[in-house]
Amino acid sequence: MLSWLIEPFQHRFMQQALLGSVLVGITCSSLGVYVVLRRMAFLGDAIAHTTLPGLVIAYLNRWNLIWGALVAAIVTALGIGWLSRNQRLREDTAIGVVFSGMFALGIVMVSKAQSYRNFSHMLFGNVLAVTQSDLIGISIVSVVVLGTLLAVNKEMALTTVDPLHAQTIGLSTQRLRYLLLVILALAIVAGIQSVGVVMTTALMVTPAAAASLITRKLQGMFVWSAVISILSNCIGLYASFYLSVSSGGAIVLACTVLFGFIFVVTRFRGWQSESFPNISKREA
Amino acid sequence: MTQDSSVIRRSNEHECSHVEPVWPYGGRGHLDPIVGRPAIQVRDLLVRYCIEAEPAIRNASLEVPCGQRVALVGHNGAGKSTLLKTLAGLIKPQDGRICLFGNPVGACHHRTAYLPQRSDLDWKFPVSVYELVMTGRYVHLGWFKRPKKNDKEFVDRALRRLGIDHIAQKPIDALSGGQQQRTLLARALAQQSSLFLLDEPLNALDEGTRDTVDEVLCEHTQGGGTVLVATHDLGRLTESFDRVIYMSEGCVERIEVLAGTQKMKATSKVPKC
Repeated sequence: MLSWLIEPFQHRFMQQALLGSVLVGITCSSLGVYVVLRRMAFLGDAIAHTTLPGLVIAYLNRWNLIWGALVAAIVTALGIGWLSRNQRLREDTAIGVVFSGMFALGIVMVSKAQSYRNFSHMLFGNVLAVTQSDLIGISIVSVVVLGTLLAVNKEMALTTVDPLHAQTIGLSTQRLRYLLLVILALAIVAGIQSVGVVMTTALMVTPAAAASLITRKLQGMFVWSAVISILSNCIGLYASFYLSVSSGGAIVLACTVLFGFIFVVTRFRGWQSESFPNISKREA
Repeated sequence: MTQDSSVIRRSNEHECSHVEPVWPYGGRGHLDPIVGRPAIQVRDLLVRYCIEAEPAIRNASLEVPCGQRVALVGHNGAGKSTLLKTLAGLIKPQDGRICLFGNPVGACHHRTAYLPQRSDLDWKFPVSVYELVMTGRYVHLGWFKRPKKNDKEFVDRALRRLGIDHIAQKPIDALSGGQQQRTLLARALAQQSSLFLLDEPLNALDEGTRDTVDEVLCEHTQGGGTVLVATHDLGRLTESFDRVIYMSEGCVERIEVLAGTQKMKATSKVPKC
């Protein structure tokens, strides 16, 4: 059994894949807590899809793909924020317009490049092909995203739970929203290498959604979300190695199965109410 | 003395213009109240939600002295909530002047607590009562700072005063309407605000919670604080308030000073401002 567990990670590409996917997992799942709590899952999905034209432009010009995706994601994030500012357009409408437009642009550019095959790893990810320079890029993105989240967590939580109070004390909810969109774009770009454009949102939303079923504490959600994400990545990598299936698909599928398991267990065990142990003691 | 004059000079630079400067979050830029100025001073206020719309408030002028408890009365759509939100700095007026303690809105946001209607909060957010009350301290903390021992003491004191210390660790999504209102009021106390702006705080509350809220507001004004409450509860006007501002169709219709009320004013202190 032990050798079965150890064997895959005797290969260098598997070690790099594990490190890369765990880093991406922790980053995306931590940010995912706010994506879920602020009901931004659709926005995350849209940003992930709209990186496609950036990726294609970078590929055709032989630039670093990460930078292409990053520029496209940030332009999208800020564009959606700008269109929906002052609620002139509802945010979901702005997302619908920008998302479909940018993804369509990406598809047109892919067809212009006359080969879908070259872009399949962008669409569906291939964490097994992570290189050392990719790892450095992912690490930098992770440090920036997690560091920012840690630094402004207090303010981010306040603008989510009570935006009016936040504004009353001089916090700009709009600027914090833009900041969240920018780090969301960064995390998504990191996730593209792991599970691809199409499934990056799953790395954000599913672990955080599962965590919200287990605990009703914000810190607890961050911890559980990261744990579920790391587990999913490990299970996905084993499945990919031993069953020779797509690594991105296996990771997302493992994540979904874990969510289903937690959903069923918490429904029948009533775990959530035990997450604030002081209540019963104090109220009794 | 030097500090006082510098405060007055700094505030005069902005002298309550309707073009508000941007006041930063946290301690920087906070101004102290100007001695002798009323808690709220509004002149010819005009507020629209969008340019084409009818004004939500027009030509409104009013003054609320420090240490008073004032009711804002009017039917739905009269402009009560809009006025409170404008005073809290949530809506920018198109015209007119607002001064809070002699300073522009925003320069005093550490001294102003706005209690919205309960539906304006996301009560499903995974925080406890204690953590929500602690957000009242953020205005003093600013960026990157964590709550310290004295912040925790303010929060503990506020929780005890509102009688909700036993549910401090309870998640906010498990609170009743009365507990939610007590929690929001505890946050305002923890913020150490001089001015409370309350938007229908007694709506759908049980008698016990109403009495507690009443007591806390009474204590607040006795300590020199000022309270402006939008309310539909006309039965408590003479009993609980020093003056009543009647609003209709976005205008201040009249202001009634209630003399000889039955409030306990015997121990009232000199207002801080």
